[in-house]
Amino acid sequence: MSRLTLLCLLFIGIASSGLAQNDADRILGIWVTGKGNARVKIEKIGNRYFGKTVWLEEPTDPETGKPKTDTENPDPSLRNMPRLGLRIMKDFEFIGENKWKEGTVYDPENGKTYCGAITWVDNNTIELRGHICGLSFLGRSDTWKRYTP
Amino acid sequence: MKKILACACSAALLMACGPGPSVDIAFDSGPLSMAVDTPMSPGITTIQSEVVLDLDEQFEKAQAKRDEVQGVDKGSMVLTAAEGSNFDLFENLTISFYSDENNMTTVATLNPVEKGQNTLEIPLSDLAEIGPYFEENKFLIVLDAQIMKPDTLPFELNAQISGTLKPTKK
Repeated sequence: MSRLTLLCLLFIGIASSGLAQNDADRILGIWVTGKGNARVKIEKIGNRYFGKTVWLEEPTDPETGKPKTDTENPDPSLRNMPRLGLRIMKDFEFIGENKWKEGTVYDPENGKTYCGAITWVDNNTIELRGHICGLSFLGRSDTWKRYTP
Repeated sequence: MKKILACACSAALLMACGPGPSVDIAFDSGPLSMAVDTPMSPGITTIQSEVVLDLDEQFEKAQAKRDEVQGVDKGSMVLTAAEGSNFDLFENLTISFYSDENNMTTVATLNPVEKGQNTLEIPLSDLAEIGPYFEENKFLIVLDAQIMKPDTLPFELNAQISGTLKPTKK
């Protein structure tokens, strides 16, 4: 194999890994949930993707008049955690072909954690699916739109 | 009698399947420096720091299994703001652990942050399963903080975690 061929292969390898990285990272940013009542910022920590709530239509608990907290958390010591800033999506890995999997989705309304997957629809749309772990047919999907201020 | 025997056998079987007795290994990360990027704007910010714990020798001395940490007792984190500053900048704090080998686990929250404090001592949740993080030599502390007001001055702090690991005896 000539030096030129080796160099070309090396270049193609570097270029394709860069493209894969871009593909994975295009999910970063702020997204509006299907009902439009929350915004979630997806960020990268290590090699995985996480989503935290950065805006709520109703940030205040009507009963207490105070900012909402994670009252349904199964861990009592974390029930005082603010809902604003709560990480509701954790540990998603990009597996290629417009999909991020192996993550979890936390529903603060009932304190339950579900297995999750994200599918890229287009530049402004993703679909988040949460399901009971091990039973992928028992779940629901939500379409999120990219937030534009 | 048969029922009692069956119960005793089941209990013995369960005990045989579970992890063996554990030993205690005290750990202390020492101060880990963290900094909030400037300029700061109100809202949620995330800062992180890598914890590197060289505990191989302690595990060896205690004749404990490095890859079987059953839990952590009296785990706590102390956050100390740089001299002359305090945590009034923060409305609340949430702390998580993360490594590429283990999923992210939320370990503590402080809401609200008491005003005028230079040092915050935060107990780690007893229910959070953090043992596996200590089976590796390093992991990340991820601190989510709600910032109250904009600031252009850098904010630096030290985080220090300590506790007692409960690894399985060899």
